[in-house]
Amino acid sequence: MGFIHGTGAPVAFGGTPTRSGWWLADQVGGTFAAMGAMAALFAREKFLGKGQFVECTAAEGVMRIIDYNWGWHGMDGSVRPRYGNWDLAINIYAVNPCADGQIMVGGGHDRLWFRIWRAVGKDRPELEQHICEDPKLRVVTDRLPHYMQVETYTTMCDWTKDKTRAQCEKSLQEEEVASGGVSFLDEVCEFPHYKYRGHLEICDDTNYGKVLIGASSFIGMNTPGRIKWIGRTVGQDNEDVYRRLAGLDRERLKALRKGGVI
Amino acid sequence: MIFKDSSLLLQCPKCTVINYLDPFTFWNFKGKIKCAGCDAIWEYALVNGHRQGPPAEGKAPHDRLPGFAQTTDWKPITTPGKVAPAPQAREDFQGKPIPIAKSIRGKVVSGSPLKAEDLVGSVPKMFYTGI
Amino acid sequence: MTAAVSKNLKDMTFEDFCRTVFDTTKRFEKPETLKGVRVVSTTQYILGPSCACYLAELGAETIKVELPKRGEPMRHTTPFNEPFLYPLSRWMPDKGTGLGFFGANANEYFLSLDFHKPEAIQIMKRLAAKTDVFCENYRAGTFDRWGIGYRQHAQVNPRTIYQWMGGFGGWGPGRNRASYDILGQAQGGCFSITGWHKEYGGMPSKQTIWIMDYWGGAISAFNIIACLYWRDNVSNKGNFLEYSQVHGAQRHLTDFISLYGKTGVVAQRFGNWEPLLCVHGILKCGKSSYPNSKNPQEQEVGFCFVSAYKDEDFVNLCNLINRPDLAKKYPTHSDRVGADAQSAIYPELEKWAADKTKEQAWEEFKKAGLVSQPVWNSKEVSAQEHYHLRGSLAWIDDPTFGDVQTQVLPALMSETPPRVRWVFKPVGADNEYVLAKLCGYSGSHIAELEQKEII
Repeated sequence: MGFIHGTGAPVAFGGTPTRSGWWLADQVGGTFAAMGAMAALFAREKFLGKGQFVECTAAEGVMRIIDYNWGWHGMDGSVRPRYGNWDLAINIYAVNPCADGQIMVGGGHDRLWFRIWRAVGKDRPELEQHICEDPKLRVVTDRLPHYMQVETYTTMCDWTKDKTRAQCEKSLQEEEVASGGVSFLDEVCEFPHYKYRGHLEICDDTNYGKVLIGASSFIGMNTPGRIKWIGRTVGQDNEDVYRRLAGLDRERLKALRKGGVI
Repeated sequence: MIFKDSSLLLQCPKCTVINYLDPFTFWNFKGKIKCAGCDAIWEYALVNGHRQGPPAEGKAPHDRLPGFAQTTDWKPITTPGKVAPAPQAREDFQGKPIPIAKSIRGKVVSGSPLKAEDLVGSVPKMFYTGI
Repeated sequence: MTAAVSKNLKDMTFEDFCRTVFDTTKRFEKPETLKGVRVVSTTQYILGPSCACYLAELGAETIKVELPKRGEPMRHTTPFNEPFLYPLSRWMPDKGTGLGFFGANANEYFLSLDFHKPEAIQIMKRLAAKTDVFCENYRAGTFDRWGIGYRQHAQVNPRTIYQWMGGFGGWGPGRNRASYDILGQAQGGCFSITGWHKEYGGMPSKQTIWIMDYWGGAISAFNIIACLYWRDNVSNKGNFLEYSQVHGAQRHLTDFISLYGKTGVVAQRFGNWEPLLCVHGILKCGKSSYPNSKNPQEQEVGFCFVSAYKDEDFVNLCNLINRPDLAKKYPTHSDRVGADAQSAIYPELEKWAADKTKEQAWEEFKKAGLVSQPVWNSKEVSAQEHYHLRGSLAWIDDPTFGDVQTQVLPALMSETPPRVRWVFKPVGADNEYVLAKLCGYSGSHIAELEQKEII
C-alpha cells in the first residue's frame, strides 16, 4: 500500500523495499475496526436506535495512516521514496549509528536544533560551528532537501561514532532533546521505567502458566484496561456459551460434539 | 583544514572541499572515494565510523561518490557525477518549494504563494470569484 | 429505511448489498457517528492531532488550538521542502503549510491561542465548561500547572474525558523524557525487529510512516469513544486517560515479549521473510515495470509478496519455479520454517523471478492459485479505482485549498459513515466562529484579542 515501497533504505544507499518486522497492518486494521465498532455502539445508544454493518480492511488501515502520501501524489505526481532511517519531512529526526548500536535524535524546529548542536559542540566545537554558521541551514524548511540532510547527519555521526547509546542520550537529555537508543527486546523488557509503570506484566494464565506480556495500554483513571487471560484452548468455553446463550442441553451438546460441529 | 582528523567528513587534502561520507553507505567501508571538488581519488577505510588512517592518494576508477560535498565557505556541490544521486520522488528534483496551480487531474489547487489581496478571510479569493 | 428498500436489500447478492449500504456517494446524506460530541485538541506533531482527527472524521465537532502566527510545528515540515498548501494564515498569505500537517487535522476548526497569556487561560476555562473531550500532548503536568488540566476541568464539568498522550507517561523514573514517533519505535522495540539482518547487509529500520503516532492516536481515539459510551450509558462520569507511545508499542509486540519471557530469546530482524511462516515473504523481481519512465521511483525493479506456507501451496510454488525437488526436501512446514531452510528457499524463488516484472510474477502466482500481491508505490495505489470506490481514498474539493486527494477513516459504516469535509484550514481560520459561538465574545473583543496577540 505504498508502505513496503517506502520502508527501508533508498537504492543509492543500497536498500530495498522492506516489510515491517511485526504484523503491523493487521494490528492497525484491527484498531480501526475496533474503533468503528465502538463508535457504532455509541451511536446506537445515543441516537440511532439500531445497529449497523461495519467493514474494515488492513490495507486501508495502513493507507489511512500513511502520512501525506496521497496528498503529495495528488499535488504534483510525486511517488514517495524510501528514506531509510531518516525522515523526508523533518531534519533532525532520525536514527543513526553510534558506537554500540543506533541512536535516535529528534528536533526539527529551531529551539531543539540549536540545543542538539550545543550538545555536540561540548565535545566537538568545530562541528557545532560548521553547522550553525551554514547559511543554507538557517530556516527550518531549508534543512529538508536531501543534500542538507546528508550534511546534517554525517556531521552528527562524526560525533555519535565516539559515544555509546547511553552517552549520546545523556548528553542530549542534558539539553532536553528527545533522544534514545534503539532497544533490542531484552532491553525493552528490562527497562526500569517500563517495569515500574507496568507496561510489561506477567500474566499467570490458568492454561499456559506464567507468560510475560505487554500490558493493556488503556490507562484510565476510572476504567483501566486489563488482560485476564492470554487465550483459551479451542472450545474451552463451549459448555458455558452453548448452555447459557443457546440453551442447549447435555444431550444436544453431546450430539453436536459427536457430529464434529463443535 | 578544520576537519583534518575527522572520519566521516573527508576534507580533501588537495582542494579542502569537505566530502560528506553518509553513515548509511560509509559506516563500514574500505575503498576509493572521488573528491567532489578536484576529482582526486582517495583510498580510505572506516570501521564503525572510525577512520583507519588519513586518506592516501589512489588511482581511478573510484568505488563510491560522497553523499554530499561543499567548500569551506558553504558553497554546495551537487553536480551529478560528483556526489551520489539523491532519492527522488519525481523525475526532477528541486529541494525547494514548487509553485503548484493544478492537481495531477488538472483541477485548481492552492499550491503557490499568495498576496494579501488574493484572500477573502482565510480563503484564497479564486475560490470565491470563480476560477 | 423503507420496507421496499429493505426487501430489495434482502434479495441482493452480498456484493451488491455492501455496495448499496456503503455507497460513498451517499455519505453526506447520513448522520455522523459522534454528532454532538465536542472535542478540544491542544496537540501538536502527529500523536495527539491524529487522535482528534479520527474523532472529527467520525463527526465530532473538533476545535484545534495552536499557537498564533506560525501555528504548530508540523505546518513547517514537508517532504524535501517541495509541496506546500497556501496560505499559512490570512496574516501570512505568502507562506504555506507543509504536507507534514496533512492527514492528522481533517474536519477541525482552527483556533489560535497563546497559552502564556492569562486571557488565554480564561478562554480555555470557558471552553472546558462546554466540551466533552480534551486531547492534549504537552509535557505531562504542564496543563495542570497552568490551571487547565483534568483536575480543574473536572470541577466545572465532571463529565469531561481528558486524554493525555505522550512518550513515556506522566509518572515513573523516565517521565520527563520528551518523545517522538521515531523514539517510540526505537525504544518500544519495533525498530530492532525490522529490516535485514547484518549478514544480509541490513540494519534496524524504521517503519517509513509515523506509525507509533498515527496508530497511537487511533488507540487513544478508540479509548475515548469507549469512555464516551461508558459515560453516557453506564456511569455519567468522565475519565482521565493516559496513553504512552512506548507502552502501545509493547502491547502489540506481545509475541516477541512472551518469547523473551519464556525462553530468553531476543527476537531479531528477518528482512522480508517471516520467522513464523515460510514461504510468506517478499521477492525481488529482476525487472522494472516502467523501464521507460523518467521517475527513479518507477525505474526501480519490482518486488512481489507471495504466501505459500501450507504444504499443498508450497508444492504448487515449487512446481511453478520448476524446482519440485525443493518440495521433496522440505515437505512439512517445520522443515522449511527454520532460518537455514528459508535461506535456501528464497534465493531459488528470486532466481525464478529474475527475468520478470512484479506484475508478471503476480500473474504466474495467481495462476498457480497462490496468494500474492506486488509491492505498490503511492502512484500505483492512487490509481486503484477500488480504493476510490470504497472511499478510503478520495478526491475532495477542499474549501480552502481546492482539489486534493486524501485518505479517509477506513471503517466503512452503513448508517453513520465517516467523512472528510476539509483536509485542514489555515492558522486561526475559525477564531471568530469559535470565540463567538462558545465564549460569547463580541467582534470588537475578538479584534482586541488579536491585536494583543493572544489569538
